[in-house]
Amino acid sequence: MLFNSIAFALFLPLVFILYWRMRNNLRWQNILLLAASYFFYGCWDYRFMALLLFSTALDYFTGIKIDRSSTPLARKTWLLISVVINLGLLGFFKYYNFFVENFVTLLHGFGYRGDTWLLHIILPLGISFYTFHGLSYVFDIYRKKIRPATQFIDYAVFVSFFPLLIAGPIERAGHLLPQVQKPRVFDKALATDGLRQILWGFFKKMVIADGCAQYVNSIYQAPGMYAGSDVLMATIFFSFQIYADFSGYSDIAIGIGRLLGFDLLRNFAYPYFSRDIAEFWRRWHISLTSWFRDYLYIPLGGSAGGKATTIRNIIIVFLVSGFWHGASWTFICWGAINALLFLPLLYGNRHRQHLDIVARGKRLPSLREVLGIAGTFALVSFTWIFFRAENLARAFDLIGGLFSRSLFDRPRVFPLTSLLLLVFFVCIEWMGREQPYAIARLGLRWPRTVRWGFYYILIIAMFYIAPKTQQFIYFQF
Amino acid sequence: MIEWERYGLKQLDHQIMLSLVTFIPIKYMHGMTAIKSFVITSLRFGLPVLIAVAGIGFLADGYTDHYYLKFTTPPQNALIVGISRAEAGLRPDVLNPALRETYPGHSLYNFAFNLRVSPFGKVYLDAIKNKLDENSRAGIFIVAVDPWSVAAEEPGPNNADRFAENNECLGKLTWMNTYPNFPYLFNCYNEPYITILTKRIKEQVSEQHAPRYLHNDGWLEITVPMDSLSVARRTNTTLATYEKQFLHTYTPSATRRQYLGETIRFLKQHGDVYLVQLPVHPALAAINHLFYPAFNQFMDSIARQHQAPHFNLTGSAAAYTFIDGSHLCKESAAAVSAELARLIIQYKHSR
Repeated sequence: MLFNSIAFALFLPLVFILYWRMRNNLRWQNILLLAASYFFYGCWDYRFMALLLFSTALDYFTGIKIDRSSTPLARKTWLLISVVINLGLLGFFKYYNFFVENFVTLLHGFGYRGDTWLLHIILPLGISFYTFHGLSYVFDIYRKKIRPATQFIDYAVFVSFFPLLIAGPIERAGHLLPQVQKPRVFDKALATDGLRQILWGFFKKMVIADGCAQYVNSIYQAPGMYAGSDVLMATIFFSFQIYADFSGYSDIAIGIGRLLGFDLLRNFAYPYFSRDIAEFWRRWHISLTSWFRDYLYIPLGGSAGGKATTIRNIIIVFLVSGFWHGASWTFICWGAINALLFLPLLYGNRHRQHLDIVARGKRLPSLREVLGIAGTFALVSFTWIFFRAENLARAFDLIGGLFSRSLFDRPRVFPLTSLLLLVFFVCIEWMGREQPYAIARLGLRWPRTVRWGFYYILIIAMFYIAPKTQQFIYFQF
Repeated sequence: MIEWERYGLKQLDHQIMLSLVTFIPIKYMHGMTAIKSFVITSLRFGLPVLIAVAGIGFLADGYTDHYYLKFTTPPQNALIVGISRAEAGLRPDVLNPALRETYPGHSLYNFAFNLRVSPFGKVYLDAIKNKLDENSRAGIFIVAVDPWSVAAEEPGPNNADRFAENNECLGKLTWMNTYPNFPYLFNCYNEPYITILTKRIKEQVSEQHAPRYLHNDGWLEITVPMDSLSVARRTNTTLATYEKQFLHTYTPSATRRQYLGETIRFLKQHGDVYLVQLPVHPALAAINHLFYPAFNQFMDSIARQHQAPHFNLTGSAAAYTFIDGSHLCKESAAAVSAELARLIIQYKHSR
């Protein structure tokens, strides 16, 4: 079930009504959330509900075992069981064909001409996300940061909570589980804010992301037929597409959480207003970045072991992060390039110089800030070429096309409406950059008719401009 | 706080209304002030949007796109199936009057789509089952087959999981007989939703009609310039597409042939099945032959196997005019439909 589908438009109000009708019974509320989440997941493919349930049960029981084990060895053993099975499942469904294909290619170099052993594997939706949910839970119990859940249903809701299940934000047990375990109180202001965030999320997805997608798809499918200036424009459009698509999804998920009385982790903080790559990575896909920081970078030694160790750890984190996105060399390259862009800042101790919001309290940025933002955006957009391309050859084709003499030709396609929408979008995001999402405070002091008029304009744009609905990009991960 | 009295409502009235909308019994409404207020405000904001969206949905018609109306009619008792050549080339408005006496109480409905949407396969068979009135008996079914409708794109021309139609309207929808069909409009309509309205307005005010109009009987009427230059340009484009693209990307598919057989077997439970090969431009016929040299033998054998008459009209292509080499113009579609009706009546009388 997609957020932007008619089925979900019926599903959400029904869940909302039933959920708050049970507001005096926490257990039934959680049972309802669990049933709704499995129904939501089963609408995609009911066969994989068993896998989700298995993964949930595994982490629930290993969590209890870790907590109850009296010796460090026993604790470590149960942790390892959980990690090996979780990563084993993820590895099989997501990476089996990649490893086999590359291994066989390697064997071909030694003259092997046999079978390729490839399997027709369907990637279970959201597996990367719910696996990381579960892993963070057992890691935190192992580190004694949290106690295991006493009720299986509570833990199952934490893992499978439907707004987060398919594409995050990747929650932490220490943050979400206590909210599942205690009664939620309906807060009208919070729910209204949630609706507003959902509206903005849909606008980003249906108008900005899907609008850009049409243009990007046509040019990226056949870059040879277009001028370098078209490829440049498509690359910029893809930067906006992926941001609006994924942050739009996150806004909808967080907004739904608020409707149901939950406070979910923030996932994006206006990353394209970053002044360097380090700031960009503090603002992009925050729940994943912080997951890797807490469960990979710090266990590897973080920055405690000197510069060389820090650099090694950063490279590992970026490569793993790239590989997490997909079993393809393009994602590994994307991670590697980001690491290369990050390292000079780290080496010069300049990776933490922009911790505050750009131009806080000011209407416009300084020239220096503009240059920083533009430079960072250009670098990030370049890395997206690898992220978007089907394979490395196509990525290099695109780069070849981009840096050809036709870069200075007049673009063959000029999507004026999309460009104007992007300008509108950037202006709104800039005005709201100090808020959790762009329209959080916009118009709150306006008369209700004017404010509602603005919301209606956003809705009309969804029906007037939004082209054919595209799936959310991050569903494939 | 809402002043309900201003709207002529008493406190109890609005609780009854809210109870009806939210399915929450009135007895539970005490102490739900915040939720009530939120739901009421949301409804006040959302209702105009819902009404507008629903209203526009009711305006969708034959100008909306090439398929919408086919998902809005009730289950049928007689069908034309095939790809776009059949959608544009077989006219129920010609066939039905001619066949009224031979098949009383049955009315052919054109349920053909295009090469991407309705080649023979599981998706199309399921859609036909969905569209056919399960109680219908002694009906008539015209199954238009050409080499491409039993072919699939590489790689994996026999792997049904990878068939393109899985992601098209027939593969995505299970509701095929609902008016208005909002699942279709939201999931399968490929243009901005508001264009349903704008196309309708344009059609009302413009003197020039849209080039494509889907009739209530499922026939797609195509109105394009038929001067020799325009026809030649479109024909060249079609031939180039088939020669340079389809010939290299499509392969005859055993899976599709098997599903054609299953489709015929299913339809025969509900009446007479007639297999038809529609005429195409001679240059395209040559490409078809190059693509699938044994196609005529296959058609003969499947017709024999299922004891279904097979009318091969490809030999009379010279008598007809084509829009683009592949699709008959509307006048020729009428002529081919009349000829087909004559052949069917002749066949029925001969038995």
